[in-house]
Amino acid sequence: MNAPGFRMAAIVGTMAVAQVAVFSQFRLGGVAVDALLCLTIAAGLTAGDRRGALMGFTCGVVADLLITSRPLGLSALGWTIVGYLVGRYQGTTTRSSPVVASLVAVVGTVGAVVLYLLSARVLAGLDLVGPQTVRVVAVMALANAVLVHPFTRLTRWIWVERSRPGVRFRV
Amino acid sequence: MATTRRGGSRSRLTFGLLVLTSVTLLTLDARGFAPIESVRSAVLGFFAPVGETAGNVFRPVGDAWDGARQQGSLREENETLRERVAELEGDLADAEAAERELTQLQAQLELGFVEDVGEVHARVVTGSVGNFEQTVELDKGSDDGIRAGMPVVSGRGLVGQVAQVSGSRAVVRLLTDPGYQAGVKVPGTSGLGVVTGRGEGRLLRASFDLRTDVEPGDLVVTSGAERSLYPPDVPVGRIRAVDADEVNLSRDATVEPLVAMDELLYVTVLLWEQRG
Repeated sequence: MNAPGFRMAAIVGTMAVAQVAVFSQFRLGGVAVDALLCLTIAAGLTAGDRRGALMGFTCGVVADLLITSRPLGLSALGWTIVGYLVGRYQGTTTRSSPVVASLVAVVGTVGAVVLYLLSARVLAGLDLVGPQTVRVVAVMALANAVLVHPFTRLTRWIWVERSRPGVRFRV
Repeated sequence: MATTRRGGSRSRLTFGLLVLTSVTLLTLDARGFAPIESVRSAVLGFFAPVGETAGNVFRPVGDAWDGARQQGSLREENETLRERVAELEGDLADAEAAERELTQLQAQLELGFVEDVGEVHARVVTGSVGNFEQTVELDKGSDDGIRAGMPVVSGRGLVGQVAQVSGSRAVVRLLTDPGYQAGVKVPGTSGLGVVTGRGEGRLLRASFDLRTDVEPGDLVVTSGAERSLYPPDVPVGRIRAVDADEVNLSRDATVEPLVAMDELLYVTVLLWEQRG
């Protein structure tokens, strides 16, 4: 595994521990903030569509492994799409203000949850929509709008290019 | 320009492969691919101490916060609970008399529906990781004889079923989790039904044969039919409303679970495995 691969594994592993130890324990109005989803959006914003999709898939698989009562691949599918689309958006715009990043985090979170609920319905026959769904999505989106700023620093660090001539870091 | 186009097609290829891999994982998991279960079990074992330690650290903080917010309502609740305890003590005396009567009747009729099932008592160490599933994690696992699929109960009735197990931990899928199903019956009727979880804040949905005579207030218990995942007669909930579905020839009912899932501290895993 190359240096960005190691850094990515370290960040995703740390976020998985943080998700279990902090975000799922200390809930905002009963809602757990989804740090791994936020990391996916941050990767799309800072590193483009390919790396956004790669981060979405990795974080999605980890999230699916942590949630044992749902089929493996459910989050991975939706988050791969979200990471890719956020990266595509980042590639078509020159604007990179904090407000835009927060807005992308809100839209990305809503999109990821909608894709998750849809794929659960279509691929697993599970109706996960309930009276709390809108509140859950709203809290997750607002939390990610704030968290996306420190998280973009982490994802920039993963794919930072070191100034060593002749060496290209790739994942 | 050519580089950009090559980069774009590489991105699309990576994206396509990742989507395909996700769908493959979904398919393999749906078919019960054994290595996936092993990986999940290993992940559960690895994160078990993390979740428990964090739960112990954050629970007092959360309790203090809730206590500060709900001081007034707690006082009222305390009064109501005192009245309820007095009421229940009276009911308990009646229930004990009824239980003695039932034991005698059973012995005479040799119904034999109460089987000797091993039990493992466990503490709930943490709740679900995400927002769209209803699970709890227990401090006991396969080292104590717990296996995936075993039913979990509390003093009031059915809590759920063991979904995942590692050496020292078990994850229980709660009765209220969307898509959770259990075979049920209403004592005193011959019809069987299926109760389905519908998520947090929603009552269970039960579907019986159209000829089954069920009414609001009836108790619903596990059917224990052949190949059932549950032993018979474990209380599940009480029927709140009934409506007939003439098209599907079924009688549908909304069922309120007997167990308050958000107040679970200790549960019992029944060492029961599917029979038949």
